[in-house]
Amino acid sequence: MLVQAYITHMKKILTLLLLSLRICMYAQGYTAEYAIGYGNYQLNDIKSIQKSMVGNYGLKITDCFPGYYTHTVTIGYLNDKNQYGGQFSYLTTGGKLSVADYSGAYNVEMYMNGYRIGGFYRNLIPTGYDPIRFYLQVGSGIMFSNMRMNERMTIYSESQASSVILKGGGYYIEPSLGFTFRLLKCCNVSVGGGYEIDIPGKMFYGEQKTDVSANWSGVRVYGGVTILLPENIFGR
Amino acid sequence: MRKLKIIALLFLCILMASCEYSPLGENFIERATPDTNIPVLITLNDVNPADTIYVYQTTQVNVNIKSTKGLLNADVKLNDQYYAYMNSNSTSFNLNPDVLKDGVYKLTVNASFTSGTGSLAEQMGMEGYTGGLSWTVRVIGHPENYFKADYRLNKDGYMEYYWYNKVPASCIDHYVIHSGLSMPADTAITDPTKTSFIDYGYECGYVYCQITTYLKGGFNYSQYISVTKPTPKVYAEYVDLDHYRVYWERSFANARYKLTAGGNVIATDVSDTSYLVSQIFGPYHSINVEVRPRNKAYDNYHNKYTAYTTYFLGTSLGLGNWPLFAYNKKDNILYSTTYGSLVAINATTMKQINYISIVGHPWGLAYGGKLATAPHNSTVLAMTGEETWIYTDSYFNNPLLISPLKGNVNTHLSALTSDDRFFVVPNGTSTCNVYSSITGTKLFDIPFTYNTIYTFPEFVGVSENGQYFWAASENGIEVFEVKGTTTQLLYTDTRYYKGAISVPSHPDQIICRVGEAIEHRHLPDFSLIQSLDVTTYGAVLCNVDPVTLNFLYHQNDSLRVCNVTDLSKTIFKVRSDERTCKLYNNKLLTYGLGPTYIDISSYTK
Repeated sequence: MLVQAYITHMKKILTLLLLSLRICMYAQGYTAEYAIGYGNYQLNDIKSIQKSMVGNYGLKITDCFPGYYTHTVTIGYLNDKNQYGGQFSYLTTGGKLSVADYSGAYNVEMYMNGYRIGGFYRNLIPTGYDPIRFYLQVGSGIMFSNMRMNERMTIYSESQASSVILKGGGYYIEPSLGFTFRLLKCCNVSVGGGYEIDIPGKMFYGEQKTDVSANWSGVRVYGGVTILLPENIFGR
Repeated sequence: MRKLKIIALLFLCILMASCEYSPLGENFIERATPDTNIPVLITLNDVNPADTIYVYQTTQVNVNIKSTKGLLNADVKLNDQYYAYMNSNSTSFNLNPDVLKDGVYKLTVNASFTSGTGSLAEQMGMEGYTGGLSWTVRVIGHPENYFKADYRLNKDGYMEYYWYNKVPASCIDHYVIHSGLSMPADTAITDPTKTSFIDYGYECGYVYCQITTYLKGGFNYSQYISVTKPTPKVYAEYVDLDHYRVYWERSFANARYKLTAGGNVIATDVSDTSYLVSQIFGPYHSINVEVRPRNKAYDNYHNKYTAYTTYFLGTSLGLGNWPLFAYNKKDNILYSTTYGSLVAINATTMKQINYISIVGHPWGLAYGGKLATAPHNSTVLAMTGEETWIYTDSYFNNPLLISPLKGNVNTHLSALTSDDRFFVVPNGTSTCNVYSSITGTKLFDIPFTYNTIYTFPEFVGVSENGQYFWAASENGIEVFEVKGTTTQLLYTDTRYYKGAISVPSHPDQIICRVGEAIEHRHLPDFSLIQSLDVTTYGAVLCNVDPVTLNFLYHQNDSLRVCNVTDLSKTIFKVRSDERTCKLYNNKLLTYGLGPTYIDISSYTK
């Protein structure tokens, strides 16, 4: 419990730190961007697994894969109105089934993590007010999913735990739109939103293929900071 | 600076990865904690656990478990070995003595129940109630196969059933003895250590007994004993002329006896097996010995047995009842009758030498009467219900038939004389008809006055030579002398006669029973030779033996024999009620049921 509280506290500190980061911006050059966002996730198969366990020994769903923060890091190249590059996102959510009484507790915690690696293209469109630009973006790539289900039964003084891990891959494509605001010469902030469409593959339990797929499709909203790195800092 | 930025970027990535979502929420359910104990009822064939279960044969055991909580599972152990499992509140299984060795086992029923709280621990089978109950099981396989029973005579002489059980006495509840033929009711023996039972109601004959062992637990089995011992045989043997001895075998077991002989109860409720019984000459004595239990309390219809025999003094002639007798001195042949046949018997050996059936229409000799033999030759005569048959000898060839001259036992006189004449006086007449025994023609009649009303003993007679004929009666006597075909009255009186017989070989003598005496008189003068006073007891004349001239008469309760030369000297006496006996060649012959004879020669020497 102490560790969990610590992690929650760290998340808040990190979010504030990134939002208040002051980095120089350039009109052309390489970019590095961190965006924190929020997304919800379809994850129908995973939710079905969770629902199928309801009732066992009185289990009830106490947490069902809610929308949660996303973290995205992109590295790209900005050339006036076009920006493109590579992108890495971390998506996380989870679910929990629980029952407890005087004799003990039975908890099933399902940790769902997604790792997106792909490319993106962003077209920046002037709005007439120079610091603010409207953009349209499309990103696509590979989605790696990891589902870890921890089961723990504690009856009086005896307890037993087990863990199951499912892994899988797939593809995603995410159209989005938003606005950027030049905060500094070498720093933009941006907000935007889109919808991720997943083409998930089946997950594996060890070497064994399952019928379960991790479909992370859902709405995404972002807010990020982009740092522009002039071309000459890489050796021009 | 550039390196610093790259490191910052990597650090950023690691921080992102550490921001894994933590699932939230808790579902705590308030439940009441279980009670410390719960009531449970375990029944096993309704046997109290403090009691022992006895298994003698394949026994079905029913286990039922009742509780307010749900039964999770239960098992049955026999000496800590699993014997049966229960998935429900009741189960049945068999205890088979063919599988289990004899011995004592501990049968335990263990059961687990839910706590009923619905808690996780309960659902996981980690919370509940357990308990058990044990019974003692004693296995004794098929004791009925080892139950043996038999009988013996105990030292006191009673029949005793005894038995052997493989089952120890501690396992036996009681025994029941059922002996329907000897015991008034079944007997229950509640002392399991007893292994025998005395049947006071059995002494002999057939009896069956069912011995049932009732074991604790209700199981029972039986053995049947069938006993057949012969009814004691009874015997009778000659002791002397006045007594015979009756003796019999002892019954198998103690008994009491009742001896009846000749219709008289000689002894009752005795244990002796030999008695001296007074005897009389004449009829057969029917002897029976009734055998009953020594103790009268055990008398019933079934245990009463009777042994029979008969006894008579002398030797049986092997003839039918009521035989007639005649004796031919010349041939020493005794003639008699048996049913419708004329029989010739050697008067010394008393063996039958010939016989002939004389049938009639319808009576024949069967209902005829009077035999006669000639004193001078072998002629023998038989009067039947229809006619008279005269045979020249005992070969019974070419008989002369005088028809319709019929006779019966009431015919007063039927006599052949040495002058070949046949004198016959039918009953109810006052005439003697005289026939030729050679031709069968009637020669003449002798009318007389004193016709007796009695047919017994002889009142009318003729001397062997046919010279004298007499007719006596209660009114007097007439004595005639026969000369050719005419007669002359020699003597008459009006005394009260009770018989008059001839004396063989002495045609001039007559023996009369008259008044209070027996008079031996001489003919033709009817003078008195000797007289015997019989005032006290009277007398009935029988006959004079042609061979020995011994005179037989009946007086009071005895037959007496004296020589005709001295009536006062009794040379033989035997108790008898027979008054129609004859004495021929020292053979004292009875008349009546089962004719017998005694050879008195040894007594008259």
